[in-house]
Parts: sequence; structure tokens; C-alpha cells
Amino acid sequence: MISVSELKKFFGDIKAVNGISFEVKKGEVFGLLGPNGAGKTTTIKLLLGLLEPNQGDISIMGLNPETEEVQIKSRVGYVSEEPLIFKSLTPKDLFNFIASIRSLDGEKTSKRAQEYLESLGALEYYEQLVATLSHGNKQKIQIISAILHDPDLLIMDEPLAGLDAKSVKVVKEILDIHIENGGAVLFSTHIMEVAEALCDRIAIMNRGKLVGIGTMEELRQQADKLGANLEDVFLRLTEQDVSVSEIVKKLRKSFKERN
Amino acid sequence: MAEKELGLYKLAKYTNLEIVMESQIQSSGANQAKQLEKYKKDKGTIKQQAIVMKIAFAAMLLFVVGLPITAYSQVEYSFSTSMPPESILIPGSIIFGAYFIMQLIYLTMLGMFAIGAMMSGDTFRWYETLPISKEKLRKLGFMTVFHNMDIGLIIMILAFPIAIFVISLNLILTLVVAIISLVNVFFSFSVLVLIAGRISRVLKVSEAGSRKATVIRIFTMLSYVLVIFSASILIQWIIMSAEDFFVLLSSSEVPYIVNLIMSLIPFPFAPGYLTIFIAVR
Repeated sequence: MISVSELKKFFGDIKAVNGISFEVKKGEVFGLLGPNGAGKTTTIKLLLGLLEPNQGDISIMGLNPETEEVQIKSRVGYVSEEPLIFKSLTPKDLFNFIASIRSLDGEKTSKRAQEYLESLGALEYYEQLVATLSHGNKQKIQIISAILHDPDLLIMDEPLAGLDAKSVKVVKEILDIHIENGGAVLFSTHIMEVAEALCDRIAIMNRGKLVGIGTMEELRQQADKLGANLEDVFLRLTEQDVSVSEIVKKLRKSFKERN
Repeated sequence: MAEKELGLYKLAKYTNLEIVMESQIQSSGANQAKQLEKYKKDKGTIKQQAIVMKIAFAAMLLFVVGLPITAYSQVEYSFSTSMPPESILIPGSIIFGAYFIMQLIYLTMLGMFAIGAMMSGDTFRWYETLPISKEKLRKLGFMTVFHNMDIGLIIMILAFPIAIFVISLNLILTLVVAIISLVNVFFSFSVLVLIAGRISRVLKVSEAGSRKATVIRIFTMLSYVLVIFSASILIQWIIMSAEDFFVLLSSSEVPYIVNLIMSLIPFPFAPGYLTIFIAVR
């Protein structure tokens, strides 16, 4: 589904993405993890053709994002961290707009959207302006907007941010159904538990580079932390484990001194 | 049945609504919650505001038509006092020229405000993730500016010839002025499109946070304020000074060559020169 080879993207002196390579296969949820500023969002923008790489090759379903971006975007659903959808429309108008843009059946799309809204507990907002909704409800609308056209590939950047527990569970189910139907998901998150539970394989980025890639077991081996959870593996691979334990020590010491 | 594909003008309607809403929310500052409450109570508020904004832009552009009306009245008055046409042509052309330049400046400034708002918000960031080609997106940007100012542009094209017809009741003159007006608005909009092209490259997603982009945003905001405040002052000053200007320039001897040069400068003097030439002949 996705093939990235030696991908580089620089902003002046900042090496946002510095020679990463990975593949996402059909039927898998691929997690992209990393600390803030690691280059995850830049990688996602490169995959969508929103940014042009300085070097390297990208292939999405055998297509080139630089030259065949329309074909790619018609087969991809994208959920960003911040809801990018039109906020001056009601969900009803927004879904009609998406049906027109993606050449979908208006009536069927509307019915389907309402079903999704109901399952996410947001049907009551169907005719309310998106701008007036909470962040979580906007995110629900954005997720629905990204899946209405049955995309082959879902690219999701922190999709669960701001969602309540019930909605997180429903979104996870939606992703499962998507995978069962032969789709693929590229998933970026900061929540380790979610990544561990959802992803078949995980890539960990730090300062623009891939510092670990593989299944949970393979990552544990790469981090030399057999039996550890993803959080510990992540901290080791991003070289933050030492600094984190120092911070914890300092905090405990300061707390003891105060009492 | 699949929904019909939306044309560029229809797509621009959505972008325009987003621009209006984002600018309203941003400008409401600490009262953002109140503004959102207003939207919650009445879904049609944004559409109404978009129309009000268009009318406000149109009113600002209509205001400038005071200049050629003054120039034409002054030409008629000077001609009635048996002043030679050669002496009337220069000051008349200059005031008409001032009108065309102000028209260009106003259109550019108001257009840049729309472009700045459009490129700074999320509007185009979402469009960029939908199956729309880069070429169509670029056209959509210009179409949004057009959508934002369509009433203003129509006013700009029609107000000048209508005003001239009302004053002169001269059909030929009105027809010539209508053509001049159309060509000038087309020219001004083309200048705006050229500037828009440059700005949109700076304000695109990848460079939206750059210093250059911030400077452009501040400049467009300042321009907007400048246009609003300068409108009445500048136009009043030109209208008040028009008579003195006519007296000063028409009393001195104008060499034939100056008249010839004026008539050959396509923007901004030649259209005014042609208008006055027809009016005094």
C-alpha cells in the first residue's frame, strides 16, 4: 500500500525527515510513533503530496504522490490532528459536499453518515454548524468524512485526540472493519497503549530518523528490552529513558524535601 | 445516483463562507464564544454576513465613483466658460487617472484581505487533502477572490457608465465609458490575480509559518484598515481640490505634445483622455 525509500525533507537547516524507509502492507495497521517534532506529521504530509520531498521515493498504491495526487487522494482517507473540515457548514451539508467532491451517491452517503454519527453519539448535531461543536465532535465528523468513500488506505494523524472512551472504542471497531475488508491504516499517535493495542507493526521516529521498526516483539529486541511494554521500548529507542528516570528521581527528591 | 461534480464558482462559495466565518471569529477576540453562540442560534448568520461583507466592499468601491463624476462636472463647467478643449484635457485626464488608480488600489487591497484570510486558515488545507488537482486548487483560489468581490466588481463596471449617462445623457459617451470601465476592471483584477499568485505561494501550507508570510498577513490587515480610513478623506480631498486643480492647469498653456503623450499612456490617462475628448467634441 505504501512504500517509502530514503525519504528526506529539510526546512532550511532543520532535517524534519532524514532518510527514512518503510512499507505498509494491505490488511495491516501501521503505527508511526515519535516524540514531538520527530517528523511524523511531515512524513504524513509527504505521503499525501502536501509537501515535496528533497530526496527519496514514495509510492502509494503504486502511484506517485507528486504526479498522481488526485488518484491517490480519491483512494485515501485522511484524518488530521486538528479538524480541517469546513466549519461554516452543518454535518449534513458537509457530507453532501463530500458526496459531490468524491462523486458518491448523495442519498446513500447521507444515510451512511447518519449511521456513523449515531454510532459515535453525535447524530443530534447533524444540522448544527460544525464551528459550534466541541473538539471531540468535530473530530468525529472529520473521521466520518474520511471514511465515507470507503478508502483503500486510511492515514490518521492523532485521530483519537479529544474523543471520549465510547467513541475511541467505536473508531477502533471501524478500523477493524476497514482492515477486515482489505484496507490498510497508517496511524500516528502519542498514546502508547492505543498503539500497542491497535497496530500490527510500529515505526518509531526520532529527530527525523527511524530508530525502530517492526512488530512489538521485534521492537523489544531492537531496544534490548525483552518483556517490556511499548512505553519503555519507546523511551529506550528515542534515548529518553535515562533523562526520564533522572526527572523522576528529581521530582521524588523535591517532593520528599517539601514534606 | 452519484452527485453532480461541483463547478469552480460553487466550490468558491464554500471557501468564501469559511473565510467570512474565520475572519468573524478571529476579529471577535474575547467574544468568540458569543459569536459561536450566535451561529448556534441562527445557522444562516454566516451566509448573511458574507452578503453584508460583499455589500460593504461594493459600497467602498462605489464611493470612488465620486471622482469621475466630479471630473466630468468640472469638464462641463470649464467647457461652458468657453475654455479651450486642449486646456481641459490634461486636468480632466489626471483626475480620471486618479480614479482608475484608486480603483486598482482598492480592488487590490480588498482582494488581498480575502487572499490573506483564505491562505492563513484551514480552508485550503482541507481542500488540499481532497481529490482536487493542484491546477484546480490554484484556479479555486482566484475564483474565491472573485466570489468574495463579485458584487463589488459588478458595481465597479456599471457605476461609472451609469453615472456618466445620468449626468451627460450622451449614449455614445456612455457606451465608450462602459467599454473603458470593463477593460479597466479586467486590468485591475488581472493585477490582483498576479499579486495573489505570488502571495499564495508564500502563504501555502509548507510556508504558512514563515516570517515572510507573517509580514504579508500583517500588511494585508493594515491595508484593509488603511483603505477603510483613507476612503472618505482621500476622495473628499480630491473632490475639493478638483476645481483649483482645473483652474491651475487650464490657465497655463499646454503644449500639444503633452496632450499627445497623455493620450498614449494606456493606464491610467488614456481612458480619461478619450472620455473627455468625446465629451468636449
